[in-house]
Amino acid sequence: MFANKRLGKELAKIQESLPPGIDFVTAPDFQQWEMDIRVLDANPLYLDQTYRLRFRFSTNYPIEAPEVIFIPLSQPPRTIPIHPHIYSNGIICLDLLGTQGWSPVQNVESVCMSLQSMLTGNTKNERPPGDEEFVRRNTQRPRDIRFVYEDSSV
Amino acid sequence: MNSLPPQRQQSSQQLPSSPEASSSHQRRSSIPQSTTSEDSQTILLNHPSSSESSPKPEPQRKQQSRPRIRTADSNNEPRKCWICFADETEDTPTSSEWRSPCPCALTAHESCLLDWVADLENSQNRKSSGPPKIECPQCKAKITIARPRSLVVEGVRALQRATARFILPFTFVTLAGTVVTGCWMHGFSTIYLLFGPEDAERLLGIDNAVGINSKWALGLPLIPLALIAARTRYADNLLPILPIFYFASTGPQRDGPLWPPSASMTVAILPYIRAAYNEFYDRVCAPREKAWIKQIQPRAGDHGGDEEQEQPHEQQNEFEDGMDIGLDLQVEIVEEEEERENGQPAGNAREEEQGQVNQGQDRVQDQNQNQNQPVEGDQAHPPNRHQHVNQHQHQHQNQNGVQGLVLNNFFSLPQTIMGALIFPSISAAMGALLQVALPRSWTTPPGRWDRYPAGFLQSRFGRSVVGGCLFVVLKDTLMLYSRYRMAQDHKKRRVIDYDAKKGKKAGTTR
Repeated sequence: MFANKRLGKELAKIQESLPPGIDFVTAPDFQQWEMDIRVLDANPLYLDQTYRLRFRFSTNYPIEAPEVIFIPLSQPPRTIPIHPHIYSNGIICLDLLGTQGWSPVQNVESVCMSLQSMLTGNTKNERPPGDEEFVRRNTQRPRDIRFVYEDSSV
Repeated sequence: MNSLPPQRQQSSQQLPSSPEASSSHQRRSSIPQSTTSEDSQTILLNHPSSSESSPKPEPQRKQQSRPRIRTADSNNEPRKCWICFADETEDTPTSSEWRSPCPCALTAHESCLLDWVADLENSQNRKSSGPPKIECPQCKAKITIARPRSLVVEGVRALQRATARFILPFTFVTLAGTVVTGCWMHGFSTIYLLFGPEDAERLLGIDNAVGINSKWALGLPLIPLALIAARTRYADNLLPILPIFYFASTGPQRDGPLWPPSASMTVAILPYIRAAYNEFYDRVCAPREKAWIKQIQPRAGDHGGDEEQEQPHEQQNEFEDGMDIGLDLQVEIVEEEEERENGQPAGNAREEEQGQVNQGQDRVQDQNQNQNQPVEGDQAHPPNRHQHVNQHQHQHQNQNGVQGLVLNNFFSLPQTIMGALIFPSISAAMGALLQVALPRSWTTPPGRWDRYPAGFLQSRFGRSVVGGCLFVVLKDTLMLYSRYRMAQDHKKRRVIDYDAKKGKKAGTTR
């Protein structure tokens, strides 16, 4: 099918080579993949940290955006990176992952790189405003959340 | 592929600082090319010779396609779909055409593009903000879709957008229309009830086959509203002004006999009757009523429970006053003198009672004083201490209390509205009773040879108005009498001593 075919191609490419700082972890099927990313420069916020990303693909991928969140793990140790656009439950507020910002030219690798650069460029050691409230209340899937992308500086 | 790692390294290091720089590499006007190998994985290719890379900052800040260096035979590379990532070599006979809709390197299957466009259009529709913008995600060039133009489809779309926009206003208009229609019907039935079918039809202009007189289109819905508004004390200030407009507008051309008064004349006079009756009630009845209520409260001389008990009473008072107002305001008429006749006896009866309850009146004033100064209430005032408090002050306080209370009790509001709306029916019923109860000569219009003169009660309207007034007066009298009885009986209460024999009996029967 459409999504599987494309994901198969992406997977083949990913397994062959990936940009530095991005590592393939697992792709048991064409629905849920995991990737590791880390920041390459010496940003003290993320120094020596690796973060686990979970991708979920709908059957409409790549027409529809994948659902991408950070997930915490104990082994190997993975945390949710601190960032003004990343909630402490791992949900990422990035226009590229929303309906408006997504387009099929994006792919798993480009999303990883965008997140990587988003972390690299960040200097604020803080969570988004209203993080606690959001984490406590939110039961929606990330895709259904209507983020307001007001801040493109980070 | 050997050249890739360093290049990638470079580009990804660029990303944080200037993602635009890297993506601007991708701007190309040439037809995209890619290697034939399956793993070449690029949809958007950067050619090393892309010297024409525009320095224009790329609005898209993602790095969806990294710059790749392809040095060899790029012109022969098969095209690759940027949506499904399949390249030309994988095409099957069923694969759709290749399209390059924009100046940049992106190329895709037509079917993939159409899927994507459909998704864009759907998600745009969800936000209902105009027609969707379809542009290349890479170069932001507009992608043109040729489709059969159908006026019907476009018209329907525009209509849908328009209707979506009108839902809220439409809801408001509908609700308002419902209310107006309801008011209209109420006003209509009010006219019918009070005047009877024949007069009402003549009044409304139904019989002349032109339809209802246009001036009633506005007037009818105002009837219930006016009924309700008249229940508030605010009408006190407004109502007396209205008749002036009436007299001013009718002017001297009023013809016909002064007696019986015309309907409009009666309506114009009603506010004054209402004000007079209210004034009378406030001055004469209300103080005594308060006194009686006060008497039945525990320790009538104490001030402890006064304030709690005061509240329900005021409410009641307001409700009754409202009745009068409602009566006056209806588009109906009351005959001034009849009203006086009806009102006076009741008033006289009250006045007779006045002597008995002088003391009570003092207590009421005392009570009012305490409302203003609750702290003082702790000290037991001698009952007569405030005897000198003048009537005016009392009046003032009373009005303030009622005014503040007009809407302050949740349950009194529906009660007030119900009372206001049902009042015409009550008036009509009372009018019908009058017709039965009064001598026939009073209630039937004089025939040609009858000697008795035309009278106010001979019209159904007149009877309705008098009936309404009668109802108000009767109701007030009844309320006052029950208060009076309660006060009187209160004094006669006594606790029955326990009787050994009877007590046993009582115990067993219980």
